[in-house]
Amino acid sequence: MIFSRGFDLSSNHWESLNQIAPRLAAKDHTIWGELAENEAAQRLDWIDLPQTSRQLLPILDALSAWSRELGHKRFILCGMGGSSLAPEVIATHYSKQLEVLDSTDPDQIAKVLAGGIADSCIIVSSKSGTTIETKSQFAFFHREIEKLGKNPSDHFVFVTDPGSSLEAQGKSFGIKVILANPKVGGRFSALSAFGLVPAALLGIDVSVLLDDAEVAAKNFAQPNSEPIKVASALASTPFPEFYDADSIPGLGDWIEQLIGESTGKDGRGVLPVIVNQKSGETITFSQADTKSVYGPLGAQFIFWEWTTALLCFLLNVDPFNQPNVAEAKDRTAAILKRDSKQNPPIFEDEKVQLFGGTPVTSLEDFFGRFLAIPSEYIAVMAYLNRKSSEIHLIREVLAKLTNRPVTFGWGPRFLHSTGQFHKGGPATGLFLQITTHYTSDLQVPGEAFSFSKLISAQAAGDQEALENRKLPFFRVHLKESDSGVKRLLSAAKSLKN
Amino acid sequence: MPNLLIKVPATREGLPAIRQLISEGISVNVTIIFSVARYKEVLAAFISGITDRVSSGLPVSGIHSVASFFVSRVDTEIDPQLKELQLESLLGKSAIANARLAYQHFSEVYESLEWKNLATSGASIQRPLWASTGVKDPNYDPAMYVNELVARHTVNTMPEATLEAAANSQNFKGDSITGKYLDSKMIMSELEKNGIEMEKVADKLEEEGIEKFIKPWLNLISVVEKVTR
Repeated sequence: MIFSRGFDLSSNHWESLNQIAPRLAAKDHTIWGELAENEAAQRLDWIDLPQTSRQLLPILDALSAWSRELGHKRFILCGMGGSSLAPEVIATHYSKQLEVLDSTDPDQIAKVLAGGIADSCIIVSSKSGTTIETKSQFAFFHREIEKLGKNPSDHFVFVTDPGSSLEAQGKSFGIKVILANPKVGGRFSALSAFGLVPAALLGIDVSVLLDDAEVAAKNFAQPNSEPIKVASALASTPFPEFYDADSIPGLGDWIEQLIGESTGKDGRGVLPVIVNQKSGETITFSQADTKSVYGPLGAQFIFWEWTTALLCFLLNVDPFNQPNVAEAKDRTAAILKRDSKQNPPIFEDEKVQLFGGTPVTSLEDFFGRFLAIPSEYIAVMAYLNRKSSEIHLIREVLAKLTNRPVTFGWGPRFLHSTGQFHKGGPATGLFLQITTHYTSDLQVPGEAFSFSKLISAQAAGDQEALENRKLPFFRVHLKESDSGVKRLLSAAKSLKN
Repeated sequence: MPNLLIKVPATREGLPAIRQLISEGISVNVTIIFSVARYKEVLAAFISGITDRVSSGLPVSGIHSVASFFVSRVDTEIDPQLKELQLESLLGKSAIANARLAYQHFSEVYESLEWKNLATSGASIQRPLWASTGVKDPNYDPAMYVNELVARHTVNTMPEATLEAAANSQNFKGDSITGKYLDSKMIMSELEKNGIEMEKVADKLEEEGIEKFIKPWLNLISVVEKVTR
């Protein structure tokens, strides 16, 4: 079961949602209007995953037995967005070690390799099989496994949709392929093969997740159900705060993608703000707090999927498309072929280079002018090593200085999440991109580019997409990652509000 | 592994045996199937057997199975009733409609995610086999039960005369099942409206079919006993 606390029924939305919820339970694809019908007809099987995913259980038993027999000691997941966020929450929640590689940062990839992959199981997850980050990571690790004289079929597991290029590739390499239900979109796939395969390999009893989800969802179509209450409240909360550190760590990031990417389009949307300190209005997952949604993890997944689908009805947007994600991808692909044209820096010292706007005299001056630009929210996007950098601490500093909602995203991970909202949601953001010089570089086998070239092209591609929309965009380039971050944090902290 | 399929009748009692044999890695020819309802249970029993092996980590490649769906006997049973009811337009159509609806179920299962995931583990699908496809009524095209039941993954076993008729037939036109499900359903509901219940027909045919197996089986056993004594 799942319950909410602190969401009152003061808005008028819940009455209309009481009509919609039974239609959602019946997988009615016409809920979100005519333009969304075709997509929705292909995207509603998440509703009954708690039942249908049980078909996977025998396959998952066999898979974990296979892995135990081979003595896998390390589990690495290559995947982006929906393919990585849910497995990460599940693993953390059950205190299992899953190394999630949802980056093209060469330092981060080098570190995973340095940890030793001889006894690793590498899960490669991509719905389409064409995700550039995941494809490149597979090419890289496949070559490394071969260099060790190991058989790739003993070290890789693929999760993908039937008929994808990844399925064909897996078959040709003799690699185990688990097929996911194609009528479930990536961000709604927590309870599909995308969430369950990594969990089962880690030795987690996934039937518990399905049981908890099934029990909770039984009440969702009832009048004034919990998802109806929470969706009606979120419809008038453009930047809801979430805090998960003391309850279900990682769930906030998963919800950020689910709500941000589903709602952020057509100039509308709700953007979750993940915070590291809670206040009275912050949504948590702990019963002890004044505003919370509490229940087991499996129930949380299906609850937020329902809530998001209902919220999208209220906002009159298509929950299942991501019309503005492809643009940054296309620009990245083009930049990989021709390099990006950058204006000269507006400032440079021994630690940083600054780009965007008119010349400034110092980093502090830059921050002062940056924060003086009016906006509804500020998005910080850092293409740095998520596993070691402290740059995320800048979020709180800027939030305190400005009293505006400030989000923080790791690039390229956020491109598969809040990146849709940045470009498709209300054009009210102020954007700060942080890039770095990478100390190491790794070639992507079979491609003309290296990982440092790829991640730089991803940053430049997103920059082009944002600037093309005339959104205020600035970039800080660090000449060395760790010392640059320190300099940046101290400059931000020195500012007065 | 010998190239051998063990024949198991698709009776209620046969269903658990199908699952058991498949789960032990033994290839099975499930025989005397007359109704779609029973065919569904047969295919489900096969899939359960394969699933049992997959979840125990046992190999599934090399296990084969066919589900022998009997065709002409259905018309032989129903046609006289249709003549009595003066429903000439339905003559010679029940058996094919029945078989096509069985294939519809097959193709749904074959396309299902559950099956696709078993297939990636190396499993081969249980194929529908059209049996008893010699035409009994001389008014019908002798290759009728061949040409009208063509689709991917099917097997057709036929007597020599039917084989020759099919080889010389001008009526072969490729896939003749896919896309004919609605027609088939309408034929079945016409039969039902007129009091012909497929379930009852199938039960009767199954009983007769079992009778036909008992004598040869007893003969076989006595020969084996004689030889091994």
